[in-house]
Amino acid sequence: MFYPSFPRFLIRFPLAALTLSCGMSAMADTSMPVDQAEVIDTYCVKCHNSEDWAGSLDFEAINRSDVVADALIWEKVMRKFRGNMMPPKGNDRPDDKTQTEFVSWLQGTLDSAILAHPNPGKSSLHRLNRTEYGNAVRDLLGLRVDISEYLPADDEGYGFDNIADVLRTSPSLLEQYLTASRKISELAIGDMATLPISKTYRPKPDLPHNQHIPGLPLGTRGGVLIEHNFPLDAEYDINTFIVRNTVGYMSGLEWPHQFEVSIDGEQVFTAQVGGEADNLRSDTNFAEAGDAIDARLKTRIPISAGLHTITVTFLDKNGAETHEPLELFTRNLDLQDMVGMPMLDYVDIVGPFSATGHGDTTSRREVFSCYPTATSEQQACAETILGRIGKKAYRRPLAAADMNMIMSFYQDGLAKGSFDNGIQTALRYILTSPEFLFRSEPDPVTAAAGEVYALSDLALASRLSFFLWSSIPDDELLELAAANKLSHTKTFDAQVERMLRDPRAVALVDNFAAQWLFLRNLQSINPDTRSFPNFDDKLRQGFRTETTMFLASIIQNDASVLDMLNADYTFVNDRLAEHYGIPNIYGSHFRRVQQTDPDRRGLLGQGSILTVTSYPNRTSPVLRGKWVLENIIGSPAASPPPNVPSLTENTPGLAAMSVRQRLEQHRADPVCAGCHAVMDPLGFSFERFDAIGKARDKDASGAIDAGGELADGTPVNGAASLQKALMQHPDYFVDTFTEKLLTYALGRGLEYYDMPVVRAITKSAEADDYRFSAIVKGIVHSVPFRMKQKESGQASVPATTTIATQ
Amino acid sequence: MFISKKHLNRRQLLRGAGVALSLPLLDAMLPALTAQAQTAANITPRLGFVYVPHGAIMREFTPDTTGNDWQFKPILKPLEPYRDRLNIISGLGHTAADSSAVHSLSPCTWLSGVRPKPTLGSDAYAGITADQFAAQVIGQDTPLPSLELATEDHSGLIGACDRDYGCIYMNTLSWRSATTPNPMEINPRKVFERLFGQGGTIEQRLERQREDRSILDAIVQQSGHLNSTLGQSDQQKISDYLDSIREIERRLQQAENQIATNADLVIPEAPAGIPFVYEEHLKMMFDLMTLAFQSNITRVSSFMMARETSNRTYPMVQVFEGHHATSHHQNDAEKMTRNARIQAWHVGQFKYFVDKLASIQEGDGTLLDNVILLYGSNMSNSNAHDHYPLPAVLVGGGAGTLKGGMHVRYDQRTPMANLLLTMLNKAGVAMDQLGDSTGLVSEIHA
Repeated sequence: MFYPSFPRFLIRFPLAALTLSCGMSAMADTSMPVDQAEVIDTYCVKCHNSEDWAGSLDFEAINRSDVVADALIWEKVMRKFRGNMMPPKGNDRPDDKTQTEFVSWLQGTLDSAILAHPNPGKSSLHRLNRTEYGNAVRDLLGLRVDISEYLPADDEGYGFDNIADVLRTSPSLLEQYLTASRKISELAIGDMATLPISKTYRPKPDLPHNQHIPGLPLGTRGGVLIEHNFPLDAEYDINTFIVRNTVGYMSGLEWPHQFEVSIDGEQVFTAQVGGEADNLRSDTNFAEAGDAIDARLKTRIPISAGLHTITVTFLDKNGAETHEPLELFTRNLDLQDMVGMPMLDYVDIVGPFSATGHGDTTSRREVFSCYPTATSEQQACAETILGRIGKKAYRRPLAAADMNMIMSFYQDGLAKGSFDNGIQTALRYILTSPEFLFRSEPDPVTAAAGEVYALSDLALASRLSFFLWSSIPDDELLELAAANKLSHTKTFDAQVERMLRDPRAVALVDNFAAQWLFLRNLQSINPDTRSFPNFDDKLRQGFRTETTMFLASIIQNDASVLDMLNADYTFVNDRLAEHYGIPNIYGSHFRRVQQTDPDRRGLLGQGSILTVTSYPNRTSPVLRGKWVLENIIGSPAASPPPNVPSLTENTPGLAAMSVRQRLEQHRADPVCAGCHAVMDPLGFSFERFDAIGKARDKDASGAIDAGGELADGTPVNGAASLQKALMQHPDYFVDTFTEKLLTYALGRGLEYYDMPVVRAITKSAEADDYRFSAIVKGIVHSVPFRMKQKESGQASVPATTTIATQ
Repeated sequence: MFISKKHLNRRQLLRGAGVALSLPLLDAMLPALTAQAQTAANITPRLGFVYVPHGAIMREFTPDTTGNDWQFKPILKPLEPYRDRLNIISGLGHTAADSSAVHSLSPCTWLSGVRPKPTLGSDAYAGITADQFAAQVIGQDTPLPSLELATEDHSGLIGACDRDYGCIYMNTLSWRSATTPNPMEINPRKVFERLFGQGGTIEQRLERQREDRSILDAIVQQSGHLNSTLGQSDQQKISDYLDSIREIERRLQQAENQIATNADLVIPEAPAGIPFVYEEHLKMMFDLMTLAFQSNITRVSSFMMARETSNRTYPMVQVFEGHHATSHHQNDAEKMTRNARIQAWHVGQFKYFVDKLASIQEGDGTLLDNVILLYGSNMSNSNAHDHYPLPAVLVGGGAGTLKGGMHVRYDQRTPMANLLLTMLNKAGVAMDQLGDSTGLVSEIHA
């Protein structure tokens, strides 16, 4: 991400940071014309001078004869200026014409100077992150696992968790990769020595237990849907536990309830919970009654190897059959309560026991493309299998040395027992090998130090697949690359289009968009149950599904990315429609609907976004405004200065003020106003949506005022008018979108010399109506995506050991 | 309860004092170094660093008087039974954490006293932390030099990191080298497997270790090949990777020695995963730390009980809004009370750990006599985001090196690093300087 704040250390040593651009500005005229210098002198120098040094920036000291020399600073100036964040409100400001002319001169000068000297930036060795590792396992072995069980979350930088320089290795991480490779190869082959383990599945506590859960059999209430990998054909325990309150009391035993377990839709176990006998027993000793019921719900079932869907639930009853036909809220969270129906606490799946075989699983079918019928065929078949999987895993044709190493592990495993053991051990080695774990792009030996060269087809294939699929290249892509045909423009574009149409492209939603828009935070959002008693997991999942389907449809239909701002359609089911007040929607499946409420258009009206930018118990115009600035307009505010005096210390009666009044107080302080004057009005536009994105016209302090004035003076009132204002400058949004997507595509933070590239991509996509594919193509054809610079001289290792503490 | 052979009903475990590690499934394959293997004469202290985010309401934390005669304030009140086994050190601060990145820098400077390089991540560079200095000395003859635990990762907190200092500084308390943070593990099952492996017979475990080692050997070979094709800065990465491999090889060697010599210890059932109930999660982590200390699988551990900017709610103490939001209390009396309730609840959970340590015999006393635990936060007033005076309590006897019952107050803004250096010295790690330290906390010498 490219932040327009001015870190002190950069300003003091501009030369050190900008050596690359020195000397390359000699070609074109990059000096500042008199009329533009006048803009700086008139509107900026008042604060940004050697005395006041506002924002650690002194315009008097900057070299005006060559703006490219200080491109880093000018990029930031342009953002602040363009976004009307500078000069701050209340100061003299240039008129529109002056402003536009200044920005377009600056942008034009920087763009032409920098684009004339392509700089692909730094690209480094890239460890596969957790998601990529999991997807690679899926594509290599036909095995879908919950990878978070095996590997830790990766560190994030520049807003994404796929940044090469941030993905470090440590002994504990490597240890986990070692363990993961063992368990995954064991599971893929079906190792008869697999030890029994237990895994617990627990429905979210705010999932309603008295309603039907999507995916569960019709006519059931509550429960949990489990996708579990069963390692072998064997017996497994499925043990279910029912919620008890804090003193150990299990509620709802007055009436009989039918409990059932199904595997892939087929009922395999039923039991009765409650009824006269249980009720009597509970009256005598409720702890014992509960234990007896939990014991009754344990069952051992033979299950075939592979991925199966297990549902554990209760049959729904007629309301007349219980004394609790109505429950006020979707789930009773008061654990001292003694009323309500029995509800599922958690399910343990334990096994395998008494295994009978490895079974016929998708992963075995994927792995064993041949199978020896005699010992004499083993070697050749192993070479076929491991040669194919090795090539895919290493993402390049294998050298003899690679194959020898892989086969030596096959021999090790073979010596331990069977052909299967041999393949399993070799797979384990492949999954731990640095050739698999690290994406490397070796420089051609012929390249000179410092030379900028086009990446090989093989390197390009990996860049494409990790960008668009968060996974390894498939056979088609790899074959084209191995034959050096991929970089042929027509072939290349056709491959990009094919990849975008492939279901694996949903990775762009799950990994790119979910991080860019903070959607991943939804899982951990827990709105205050007192303020929002009807928020439940169905709504949380609904929010996620809506935004995921919305973004996926933009990719699949190759729509304009501006739809994200102003689409008049979205995706809802009954729960969400009720939340949004959309009539006549029945059933829990999602469908595309016309969005008639102008305030709800685009992403900014979706419950997901409105909820992740709120506090658990109230909205936050500051968080919402900050989110829009960072992720939509691309002019993030600077961090608050250290030791900001707290409001209360000098403001009597603060507690009684509304959020709006409080923020007004806040903006009265010029230190705060710089950013909050820009941020807060953006956030106030959404005030007609509460902290879970439901429409409202008043809050605790009275009628909602969703009005404000944007930094450029445009009055806004409500989400629709804000969206209209944002659409006045579609390029601001598309620049931001492209900047984020390029960061993600390259797996590195963007530098000043990347910004002209971003603008060029936006500009060329404009002619194509800003279609999603136009931006993706802009990126995959760009210099930083296609080129690499061979390192020159010594590796740059930080020279100092610590940054001194003041 | 933890390693008793008595079978306990799972429900009792979940609802009772909360150990969810019960018995069999995996049996008899723990590297069995029990406390009995140590005699009182050669006990090495164990070091624990337990961190909570968002500071403390200091007037509810710090006793009014110093020396031996002082009264507990509400936040520390749960630790009252251990008055003679703890010392409260007031007035310390970390200037290294002062910046606009109020939350990012708190975790990474707490144990280093060194301000890291401002970056969003690609060239992160931070001070080596006290736990890692200890791991380099007292952690080399144990299978794990150190253990790093937490209860939340950052996957649900995107956008919550600070502008100038990236999330990489917020994710962990522990930095192994200036460029290598130690990730903190949140899943008790994975912690269990790090401590005890996947289980099986002794032969199966030794066989697995042999396979691990042959894979590591092959990786070293392969990396050499890869290295020759890379630029210099990438070679640095491969060299970090190889360091990690060598470290794992050392661990495997240590673990093999232990398996070979101890075959009779019963280990608990592996936890199923991350428990839903926060309290249960904390207790499991404390149980695992206790077991790791008891069996000398490691002598150094750090634990982040909650994460900076966490918006977890605490309905058990009637706090229904998010922790981070509440921590911006604006000096509102009611909000400050809410914070104090959360903080006292955290201390109450920490007391469970102290109880466990006190219940385990070691030498002539208990495990508590032989630990040095630092409990605290790297923030003081969460409304002002300042880092002075920090809440800090030292618990344990430090194998005879620490007295108890003291409240020591430093009036000057004394570096927190002094306390860390004191802990290290008492654990047998000879160092003269840590971060910005200026001396030792000598008042608590036994």
